[in-house]
Amino acid sequence: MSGVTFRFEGQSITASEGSSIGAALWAAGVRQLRSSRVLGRPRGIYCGIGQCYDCVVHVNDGPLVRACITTVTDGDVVTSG
Amino acid sequence: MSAALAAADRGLAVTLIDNSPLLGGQIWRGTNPEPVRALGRHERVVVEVSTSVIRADARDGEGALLIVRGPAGVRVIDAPALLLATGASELSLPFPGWDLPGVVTPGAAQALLKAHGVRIGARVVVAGTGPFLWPVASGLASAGVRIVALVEAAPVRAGAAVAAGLAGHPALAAQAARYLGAVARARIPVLSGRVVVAAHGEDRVESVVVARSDGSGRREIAVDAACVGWGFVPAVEIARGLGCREVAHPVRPISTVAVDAAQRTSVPGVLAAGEITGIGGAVKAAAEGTIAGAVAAGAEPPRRVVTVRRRAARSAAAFDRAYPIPAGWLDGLEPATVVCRCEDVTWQQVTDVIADGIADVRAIKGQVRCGMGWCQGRICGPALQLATAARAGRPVDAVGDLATRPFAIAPTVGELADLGAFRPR
Repeated sequence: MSGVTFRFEGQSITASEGSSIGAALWAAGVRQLRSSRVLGRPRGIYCGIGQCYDCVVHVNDGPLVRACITTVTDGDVVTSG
Repeated sequence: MSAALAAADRGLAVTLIDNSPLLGGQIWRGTNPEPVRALGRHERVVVEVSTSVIRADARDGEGALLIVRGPAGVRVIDAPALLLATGASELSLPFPGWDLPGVVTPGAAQALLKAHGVRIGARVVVAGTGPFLWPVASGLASAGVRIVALVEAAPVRAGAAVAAGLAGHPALAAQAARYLGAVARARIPVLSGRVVVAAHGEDRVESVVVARSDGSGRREIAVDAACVGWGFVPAVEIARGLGCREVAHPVRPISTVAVDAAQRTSVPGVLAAGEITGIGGAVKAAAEGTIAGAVAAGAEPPRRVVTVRRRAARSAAAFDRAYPIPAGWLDGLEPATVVCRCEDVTWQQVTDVIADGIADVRAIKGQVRCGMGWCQGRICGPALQLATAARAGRPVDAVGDLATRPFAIAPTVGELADLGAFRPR
């Protein structure tokens, strides 16, 4: 399977094609995807199926998307939600 | 899928809409090739994956008007008959540390593994209640994850009650035996009558505390991930938007869509099958779908399938009784425990409002924003309902819920404009 490379908060991550952003980051050992809005608590993937919105991130400066159900594209620049 | 095949086999033109990229739902995830192939080659079935229903309204006469979003944008479907099989999501209950990265639902661990081949951790606790924990724990173990404990809130005797309920249902009994055999073969320690009462860690989970449900016998276990789930919540929002009559569960914070023996809801031309009519698993769902598909086509449902449905419903009732939500779950909450993850609403804020005499979850939402964030109460709503009922001393179905959502998924303003919902003057 061919690979894709993207960046998360400056870190270069390699993933398999078709992987979700969330799965790729989890496989790379990244657990915290953002800090919560009010209390600033660390948050990451929770439900894994697009229900909880706890894993939201920005892709290429776009609007927030759910990392667990968003497929990563080669060259994506992903930043904390 | 069963409904689409049953209806198309009897001459109806069927459009099958699935919000995921693969047919088969959260459990199968495209791993059941036979019905997928049958649907693919059926000339009267159009399959639309990665397509979501934004909302549905009852149509004049029978059926429904659906607003859907697919890869090609949004559009309206005029359906003279509609079958809803919207499934369920997991029930979460808050506990101190449950929002730490690395604490996930069992379904999340399974989704990461099945869809992406990614292991949730190396040393993992699977906890909560109910039969779904078995395939998750054994599936992770066979992928090389060390399951340090399967923590089941129900006492050991729950197994015997379930075994009795499975008598007369050989297929489901065999499935249960297979999962339990896999748990035993993987040498997963099963801690019955116990719950995860806390998760500890700095910016990710490093350990969980396991205790009896009365809080005694506390023991800390080092983990790098914890999967905690308490059963399922039927996804009723589309049915509710249509005005389908629902039945509240007497003790769980869920409601199901009421159907008659032909799977018809209270709205003409709208049928329902699967988890939304009662949590019961794939066998029950497929049987209900086959019945609904036949009924939609004006045919008699196959008698054999009616028998399967009856047995599956009886087994589901046995599971429902054997794996209740433990009464003491609230006792472990601390004032600073986050209840609503989206809006960071704490248990203190919630109890303050309830102490003011407010025993309605929608009023609590209005006061402290619990359930008002991105997920629209999908995660905290059922827990808030349970907690409010317990604190206010009222029945669980007497405090309202947060499951009313005018849009099942959020449309963009641009999508509404594309539909002509906004007409500039």
